[in-house]
Amino acid sequence: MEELKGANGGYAWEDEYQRSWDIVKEDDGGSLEGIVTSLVEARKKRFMKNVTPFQRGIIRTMVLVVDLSSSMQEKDLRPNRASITISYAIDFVGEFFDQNPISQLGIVVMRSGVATLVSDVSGNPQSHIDNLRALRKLEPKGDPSLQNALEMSKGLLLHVASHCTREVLIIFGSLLTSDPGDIHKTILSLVVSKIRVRVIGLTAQVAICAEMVRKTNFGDSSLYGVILNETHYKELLMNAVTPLAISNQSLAETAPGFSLVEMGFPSRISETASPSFCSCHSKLTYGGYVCPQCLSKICSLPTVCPCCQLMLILSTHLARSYHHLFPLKTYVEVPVLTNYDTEFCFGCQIAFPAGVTPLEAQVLKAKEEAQWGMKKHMLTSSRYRCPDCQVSFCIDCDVFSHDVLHNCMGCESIRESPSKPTLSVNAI
Amino acid sequence: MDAIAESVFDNTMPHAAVDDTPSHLSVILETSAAGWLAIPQTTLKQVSEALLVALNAHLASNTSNQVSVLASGVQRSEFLFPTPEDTHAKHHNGTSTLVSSKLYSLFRHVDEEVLHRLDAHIQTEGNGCDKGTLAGGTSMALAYIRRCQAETAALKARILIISITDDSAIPYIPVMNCIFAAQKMKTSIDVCQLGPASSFLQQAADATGGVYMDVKHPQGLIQYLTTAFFVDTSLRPFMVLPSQNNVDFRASCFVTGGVVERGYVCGVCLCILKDVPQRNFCPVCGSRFDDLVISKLRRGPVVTRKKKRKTDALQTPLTPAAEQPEAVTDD
Repeated sequence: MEELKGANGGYAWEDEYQRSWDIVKEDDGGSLEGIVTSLVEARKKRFMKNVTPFQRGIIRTMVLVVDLSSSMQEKDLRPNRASITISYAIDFVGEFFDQNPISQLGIVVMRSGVATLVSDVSGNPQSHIDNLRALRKLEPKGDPSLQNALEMSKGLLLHVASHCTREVLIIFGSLLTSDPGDIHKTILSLVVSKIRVRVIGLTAQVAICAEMVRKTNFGDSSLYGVILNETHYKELLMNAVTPLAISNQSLAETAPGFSLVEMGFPSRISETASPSFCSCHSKLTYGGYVCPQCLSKICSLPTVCPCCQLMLILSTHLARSYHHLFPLKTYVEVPVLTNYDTEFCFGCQIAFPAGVTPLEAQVLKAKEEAQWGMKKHMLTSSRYRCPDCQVSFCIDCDVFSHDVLHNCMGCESIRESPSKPTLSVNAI
Repeated sequence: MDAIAESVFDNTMPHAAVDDTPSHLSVILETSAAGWLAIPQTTLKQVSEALLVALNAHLASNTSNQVSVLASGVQRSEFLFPTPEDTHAKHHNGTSTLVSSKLYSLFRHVDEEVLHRLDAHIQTEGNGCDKGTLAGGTSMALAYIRRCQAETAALKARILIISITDDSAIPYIPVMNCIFAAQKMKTSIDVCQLGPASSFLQQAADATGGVYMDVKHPQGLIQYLTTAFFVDTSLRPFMVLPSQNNVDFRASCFVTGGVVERGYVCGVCLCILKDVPQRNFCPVCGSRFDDLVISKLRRGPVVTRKKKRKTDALQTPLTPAAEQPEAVTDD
């Protein structure tokens, strides 16, 4: 309950309502620029998350369970819950395969008391997206059954190799579940098969979901979230994109150690003269990839060779996941000073604001406190420094580096000192 | 006469409907001294001359077009154009001797700035480390493009790398991160390779829809830069571009460095290994592998000799005669 308490020590709902336009006040010169930039930066900072390197079970297998019961017809999310869920799920599929290229996904729908398989567990994002699009025509109906959906997910995840994670992500709009049997037994069987469940609630917390999440995640119930609004919904869904950290307890349980996977790196061939049959769709195509083990032709990667069951990927697919394993250090905000040694952002060359004298800073802080009655203040230096190379960046470049690029521009561009001992990776 | 004139006029009409979206061209020039020494056919001076022509041509093709130029040496990557001092109106007062003062002011501005800064960059370059800073330069170019796209709506962007070094000077993970970031930003990376072929840069061009060319005759660089590398990204699907059919996608072993077609991947750090490690530990991240999995992988193919009786039993259901007794037992 602690995190529910607001800045004044009371609960958020006891607080006086803050209108967004009250925060924006003109400064002495009648300009809004200073306050607007500090507000923008404060918002961006929230997106910056703490990065601690830890081992993640990168090869993931996930079943996405979508509620399509009558409660999904509610219009509290526009245009209604079902259609926003489907469009967010499509975004999720794209992002999931972008971040976890060698993972697999399946989609199950809960509707009128039964669980229906919409998209079989596979590594092809396009087929999932097509299947989700087809769901738009389906009208939400009846009650959901968590037990049926969980049993089906369990069946889908049962054959998954031990080196992959087994995850279920449930988007749950209802407040009830109509089950044919005892759901507690199903939850216990999930724990035994090491399936981890994550739930996103659209209405309110449901005790059975909380219990299910807690039991399948070694007592950790932080993976059960109930949405506040559309943005929060998206945020919760995108949190599921990042691979789960392997918990210490699960590490202890899988004591024998980690897995080594045999994989093939096919070479691309081009056939300009005459097409040949591919082994995945049995269609005539020009060019493709050739499995190094059985020499059959495949249209797209990553996939499992339909002929010899060898997992086929490109080395670039592996490289896409490396940033999870070697995360970029969080930049440190430079404290407010009178003079700074940097005038421009190293990345985008944008000019930083000038320094503020201590007296001015005092005045500004006092004014902010008087305005908002809050302890936190918005005055920033707008400079964020990499702890390794000591180069300053603007907030936009900081966010860009951590979210999109995953490189530190300073560390990669300046090599005055002898290079740091880095991991020697010579892969092509 | 009128008829002819009219038809000519009609024919030119469709050209009025050309796409007016401004485009940003970011050029990254490698300046490693050792790299330039290894290419006897051309010099940095000739290449920068050709580059300035290409930059001016890009600026001339649309009034809102933008350029940025970065130098990437062995020790540091930095912006040649635009530079913060430059954008904050600290112009040279027309005393430059490098560029004719009669040139169109925008061209002159870019040309002077690039040449001055390039000169300064080369003066300060010292001996570098084994890995160059190309990835850093590309990262900075992407960050600058991000800013320009935030400031100007609907700005197309592409990156041109004038490379002189091979894969040994490029750090793998940072350059791959750049490729993925460029893919996300829908920015294509063109590579003009003057030195030995580089498979990383080939992959960069392939993944982002760019052009990769091994320039065999650097004397004609102007022509390469203003033809193959000059095509706008939106027009590329309709043009016959110098294509690269065989991109080297094979991986290389993290330990031995050998080319791998069929290898083993560590489940924790995803490093690629050619063989099953001798000890049960990942040589990169040190995690312990499951003994059972390792022994399964070590076990070679075994030809099992089938017992004669078993094969008989398998064959029987195939013959129609054998089906009848089965049906009898069911009853």
